[in-house]
Amino acid sequence: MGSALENYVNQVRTLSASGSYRELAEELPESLSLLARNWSILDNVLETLDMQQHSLGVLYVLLAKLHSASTANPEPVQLIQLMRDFVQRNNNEQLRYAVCAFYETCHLFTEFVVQKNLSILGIRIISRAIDQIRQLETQLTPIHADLCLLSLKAKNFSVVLPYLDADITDISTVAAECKTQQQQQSQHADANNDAKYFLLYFYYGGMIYTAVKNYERALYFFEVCITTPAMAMSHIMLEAYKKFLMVSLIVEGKIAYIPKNTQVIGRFMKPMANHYHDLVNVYANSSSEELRIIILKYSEAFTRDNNMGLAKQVATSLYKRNIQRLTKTFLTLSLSDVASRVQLASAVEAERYILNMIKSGEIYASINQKDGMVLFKDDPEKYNSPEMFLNVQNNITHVLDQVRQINKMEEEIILNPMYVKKALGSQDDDLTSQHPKTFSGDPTD
Amino acid sequence: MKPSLAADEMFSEGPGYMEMDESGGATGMMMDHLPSNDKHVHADFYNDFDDLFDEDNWAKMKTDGKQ
Repeated sequence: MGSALENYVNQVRTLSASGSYRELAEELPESLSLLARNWSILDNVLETLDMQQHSLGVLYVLLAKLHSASTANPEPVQLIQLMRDFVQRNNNEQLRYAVCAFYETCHLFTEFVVQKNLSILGIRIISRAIDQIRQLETQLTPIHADLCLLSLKAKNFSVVLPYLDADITDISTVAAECKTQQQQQSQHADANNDAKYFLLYFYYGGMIYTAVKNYERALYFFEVCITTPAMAMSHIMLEAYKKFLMVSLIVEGKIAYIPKNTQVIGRFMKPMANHYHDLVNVYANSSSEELRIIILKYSEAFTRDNNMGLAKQVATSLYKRNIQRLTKTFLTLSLSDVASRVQLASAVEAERYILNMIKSGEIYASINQKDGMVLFKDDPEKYNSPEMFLNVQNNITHVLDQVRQINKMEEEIILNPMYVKKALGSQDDDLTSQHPKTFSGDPTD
Repeated sequence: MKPSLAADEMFSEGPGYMEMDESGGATGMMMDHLPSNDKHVHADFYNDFDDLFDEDNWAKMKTDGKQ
């Protein structure tokens, strides 16, 4: 081992032994380029360090290994095993002093396993990393986006869904962590990527919910992504906007409400999503045939955006919506009548749609196989069962919890010095502008 | 989900998103780092996935025994 690396090991061992983790965390970034240059002998360095006692030292070796992965071309299984060992055995107390370096390591690791087509092996590792570093179960970290990316690549959502289901109340950013740790942001390549990882989490999360057909939640995720305050248009937001439009049609049959403070949508995104707006306009006509034609017309663009499957689901949703409309007008109808009224190819296809809709509780109906008639029924739910009572109770509890959380967050904002300064500033402005009118005469008048 | 009255009153003048940056709100804070001199950002983000929304793909995966 070269003397420079020996110095590195000595520094790590000495400062770790004396518990000077802050000092160590401040000095280690300077050794990163040294470690990366010596990638071929980093395993020797690791042999002299203990994952638990020298977590910060091992973290930077790992970071250097991942930085030099394109040059060094390490054995993927070994590197994945090293990362797995690290997230399982490191000392969380030490990690708190190098949160930014930990995030960067996770980002590079994700990039590495995706490149090697081994995404599925990274899922549990990044999930464990999130559990270690987040301070609340509802805190969003930049590495949540990595977990979503790995899950999408591996098409495996069982691990990521509980993370996505938790409503975010706090965000950990590299900028804030670097500030806390008094580190130079420039030492970390990700310092300017907080917005990117935030948007990616909601974009990828929306994709995951769409893939598992939880469309309401998907719509919420895409909405958060496209309504994030911004001065420039992010391509992540643009892709989220396209999917938002399509999922809107599936959920609501029209474009879902978009809050007004989203100038970037009108200015940049609408003109770049023309095909999708055409789709929305045609959907409004309720003609499945016209919709089919427009999907065929734009099939190249939809395929290029990997949205062709979603376009097909939009088409399916219109057939379903039209069948639902029939239930409001007719009590009975033949399957062939249903097919012709909703522009399905045959009575068999109409039967398939109706059966699926009965199964998923979208309509209440029965089919008489003998004469090929459909009998539409009312919702049998009378809202008087113990199960329904429990369901309503649970929903009320959930809403009350949310109200409590919102009140707590509002209180935090009201007590935030920045907010107070801003609020007082606005009041001063108002008073100044209203001054001649309000205080021009006797206040007792 | 309409913006609350309080937010409207706070930021009634000018574009809301610029004011939010200073308010310390979570998303406002995120966008501090979006370069305002660029019109388009994040063009290189990772978006190379199969069509995950095509039911035919999932059916094929199941028959292939991948999941």
